[in-house]
Amino acid sequence: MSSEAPTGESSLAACEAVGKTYERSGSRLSRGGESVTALADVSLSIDPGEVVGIAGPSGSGKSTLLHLLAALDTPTSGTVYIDGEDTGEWSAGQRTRRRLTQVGLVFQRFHLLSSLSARRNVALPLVEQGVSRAERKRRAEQTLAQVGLEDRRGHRPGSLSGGEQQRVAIARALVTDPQLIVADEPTGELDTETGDTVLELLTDTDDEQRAVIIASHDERTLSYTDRVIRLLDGSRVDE
Amino acid sequence: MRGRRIPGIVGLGFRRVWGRLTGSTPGRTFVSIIGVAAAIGVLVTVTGLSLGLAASGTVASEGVNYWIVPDQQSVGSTPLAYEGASLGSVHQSAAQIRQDDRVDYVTPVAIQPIRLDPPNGDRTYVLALGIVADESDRTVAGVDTGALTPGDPFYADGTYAGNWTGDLVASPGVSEQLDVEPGSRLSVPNQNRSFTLRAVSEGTADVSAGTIPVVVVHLSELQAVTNTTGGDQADQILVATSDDSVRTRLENIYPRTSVQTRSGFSQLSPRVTSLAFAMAVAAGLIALGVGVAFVATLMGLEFTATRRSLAAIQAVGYSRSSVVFLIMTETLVVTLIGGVIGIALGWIGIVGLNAGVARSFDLAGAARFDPLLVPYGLCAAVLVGVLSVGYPLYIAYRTEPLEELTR
Repeated sequence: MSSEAPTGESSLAACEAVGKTYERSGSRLSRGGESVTALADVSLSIDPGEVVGIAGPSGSGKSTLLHLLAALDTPTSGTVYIDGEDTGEWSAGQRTRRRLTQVGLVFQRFHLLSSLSARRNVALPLVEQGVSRAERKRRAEQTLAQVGLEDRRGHRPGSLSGGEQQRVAIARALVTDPQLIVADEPTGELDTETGDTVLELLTDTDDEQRAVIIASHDERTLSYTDRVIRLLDGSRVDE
Repeated sequence: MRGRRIPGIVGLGFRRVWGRLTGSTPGRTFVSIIGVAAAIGVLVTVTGLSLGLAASGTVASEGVNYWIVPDQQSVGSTPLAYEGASLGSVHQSAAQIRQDDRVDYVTPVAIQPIRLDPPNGDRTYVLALGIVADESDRTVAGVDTGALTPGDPFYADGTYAGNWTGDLVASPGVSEQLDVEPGSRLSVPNQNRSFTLRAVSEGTADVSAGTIPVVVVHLSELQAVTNTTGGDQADQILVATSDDSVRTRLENIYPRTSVQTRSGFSQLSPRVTSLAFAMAVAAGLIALGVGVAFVATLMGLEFTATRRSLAAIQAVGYSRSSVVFLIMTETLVVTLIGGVIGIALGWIGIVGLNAGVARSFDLAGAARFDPLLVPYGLCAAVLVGVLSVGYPLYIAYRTEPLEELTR
């Protein structure tokens, strides 16, 4: 199913010898900053229909890799491909647009807008896409029903449990029907039972065109994936 | 599809503000709205007071388009001045204007407080307007003058020896105050003169600034009881015409006088009344300053506190222009809500001010709520929003989605 050889231009998402270095700003007394390598020479390829886990301890580079694959960031070396296109050639605006249309993001802390109802949170990307009000409502309610929250659509995040909030976040990621779902520690703030429900929702995809990438340090979470890419100190260790 | 984006974002901005106001932590948004409301309330009240002051120099009358009033900035050089600026030889000037075919009606107006002794009540001061009556049932200061004998018989070509009519028309406020009805005799204390109440006008007496109880009498009779016959003085000349070309002629009747058009915002010019204009400008600047400081700071704090939500919005794919539009919408929604509340507060302020003035000085209408104050207040609120949106935008500009979401 997977193709570990870098075939960026033909995969849904791929990295070719990707590296990411951050400049940590220095103190007032010291000159310049310190370079921190978050990722070094990482290559991978993800095909449509795959559910891929990215594993590693804290600081191993999981989130950095996830952000590169979600077009939230750009590498300092190597190439990241999404749908066969080099993301390094995209402008910031193009990356934003691609996130809107091709990527669904799920965060550990949900990052829902507290002032909006569950339905309006789910419909958030559709507003930017210019979808009509009636269609936004229909699709948001349909997606909420998909994650079992049709009766909670009018509730704001503050009155939802952690598991319900994460399900709303998953619905927000799914509502645009993206090719790629990227989830960063999606069960990190949930109990085991709720986490299982969330993972089932994330990985239970019949869409052969969609891939799901889940970053986690939790083996139970990773057991829901088809295969696992393991990172340690910014490098792959599963090859 | 893209065409629906902007209305969608505007709706989102409304929803977010509403959500914050009805959520568990409305604090900063609520305080922002209160800040704008207070600023706009002060603006509306002070501007209403300015309008009242600006308008207080003219007497409203149906069909009257122009008022010739002394130039307040050159009191000492007006044709005749006492206790402020007055016009002299007004009967003669009015007659001269009346000869112009383009003029429908002209009357000098003297405004003087006089004391009257009612038959059954206490001696009371009332505001008296002296006019040259028309043959038609014309209203002056909201009082129907039809009951006055046409012309100004007592004037008698400046001899002040004509027939003393004693005609007096009162507004309802005066008739209630003096407890008199048509036919009642009202004597002038310490003078061998008296007036007879001919009618109580059903109209509301309006001396531009609002409702003030007034009586209307013949000009020469008012001049006689107030000892202002010398120089034939009056405060202004009202001219009703449908031909705007008359204005030039009116401007040449008296040197150093102003020809004013209908009262209201048009009077807010330094030429007409610099004090009122200065008050309005000062109120505007203070309101803008206070409003901008409040909104910029508190909305800035709001967006700083909710940077993560801005970051989430950007992360799901909102462009920078959309985020800018969203922030502008939210800021404008806050200032507009504040503006609407502020206009209501301003109206309450004006009513309260007038009530206070009425209670303290037995006069009403120090301030005036012109309907134009509504769009004026809303425009000021929008201006506050536009001027204060910079800081929230700066906060948004500095927000890095990745940094915020991974913090």
